[in-house]
Amino acid sequence: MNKIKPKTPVLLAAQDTISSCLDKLWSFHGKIFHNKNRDSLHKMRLAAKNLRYNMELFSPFYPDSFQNHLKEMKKIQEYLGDIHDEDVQVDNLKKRIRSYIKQQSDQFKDIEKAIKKENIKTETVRSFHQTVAEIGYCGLVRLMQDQIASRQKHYKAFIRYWKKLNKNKVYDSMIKIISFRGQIEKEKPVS
Amino acid sequence: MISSEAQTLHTFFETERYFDKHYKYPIMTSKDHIKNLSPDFTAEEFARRLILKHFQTMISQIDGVIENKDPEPLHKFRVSGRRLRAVFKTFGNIFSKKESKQFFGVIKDLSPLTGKARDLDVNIIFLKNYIKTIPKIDRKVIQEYLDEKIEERDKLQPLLGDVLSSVRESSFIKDFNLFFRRMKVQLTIDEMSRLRVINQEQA
Repeated sequence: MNKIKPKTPVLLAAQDTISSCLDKLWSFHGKIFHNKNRDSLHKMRLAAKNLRYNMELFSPFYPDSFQNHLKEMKKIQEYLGDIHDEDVQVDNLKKRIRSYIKQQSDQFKDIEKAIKKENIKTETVRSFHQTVAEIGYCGLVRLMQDQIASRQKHYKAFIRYWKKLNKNKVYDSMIKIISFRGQIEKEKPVS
Repeated sequence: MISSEAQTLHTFFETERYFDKHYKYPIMTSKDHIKNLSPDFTAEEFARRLILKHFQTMISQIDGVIENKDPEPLHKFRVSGRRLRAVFKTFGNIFSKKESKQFFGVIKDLSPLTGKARDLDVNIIFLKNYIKTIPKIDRKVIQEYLDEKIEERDKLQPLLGDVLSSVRESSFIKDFNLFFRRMKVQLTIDEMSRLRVINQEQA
């Protein structure tokens, strides 16, 4: 991206900024078709966010078709945002469920030791079973399961949408719109 | 020395001239954007206008964030902050390093704290809705999870309030005002009223 100077015409600044953000976003094209590629999806989310904000900055200068592209980029950002949120949520839930399991297995080990030492009491075991019943974490497992399903749904929808944008040559269309006095000659980045 | 009244009049006429000069251009408005934009603007003129708009939006949300009656002011505060950062990032060369650091730095520093609070808000809203959709047998543990999130958010609020109050009471807003006045861009009435709002916030 050229360095924007104070006297740079605003439309030239817009062209340089947006085209650079577009290149960055499209550079992830080859890295996102694997569901588990979290890092690329996360980086692509940041690139989409950056592109969206810069498009918003300059949007009043461009025709309605630009607004439509802005909506498309917003949608991309939302899909990637949902995927990221769900990944984070699943990570947190895993940690939480593990801590429940550890808590219960520690108590179980205490019972085992007590049996070995022959000083086990019925009340201790009953209390353990009651605790297990009371702090059951099935709800958390359900939440995690739902988040995983939702993440898969969002990922599939995102890939479908991304393919559609590419089929509709959105990159080329945007470059054409932002072209300042026809000065821009670009080719889509290949990742 | 020019009296303040004369200065006001001067500014007013400058503004009128600004309107005359720019009104001939097709006014490109967008519902949520700054008015009276001209494609003939330089990057500097445009960037400074954007900064004024988003800065005002950000500052005007501080009371709501401190009150914390609903999560929207914090969300709006963060969105305008992010947009401001985008302007500083995109137009970084236009401003001196000192200016960028002074304003961009403060906004960036606020981001982790406001981000954490916003994440908790979103999580709480989600869990409150989610709990209604699952069988009763699974609700207890989710309720505990939700209660912890609410407690965590409540604990964060005094710190958030203190930090934002100190930003409002510090020289940050005054410095911003001076920074904006240093620019050689004439303001529209709309923009002048934005500056007035910022001044009132500080008062």
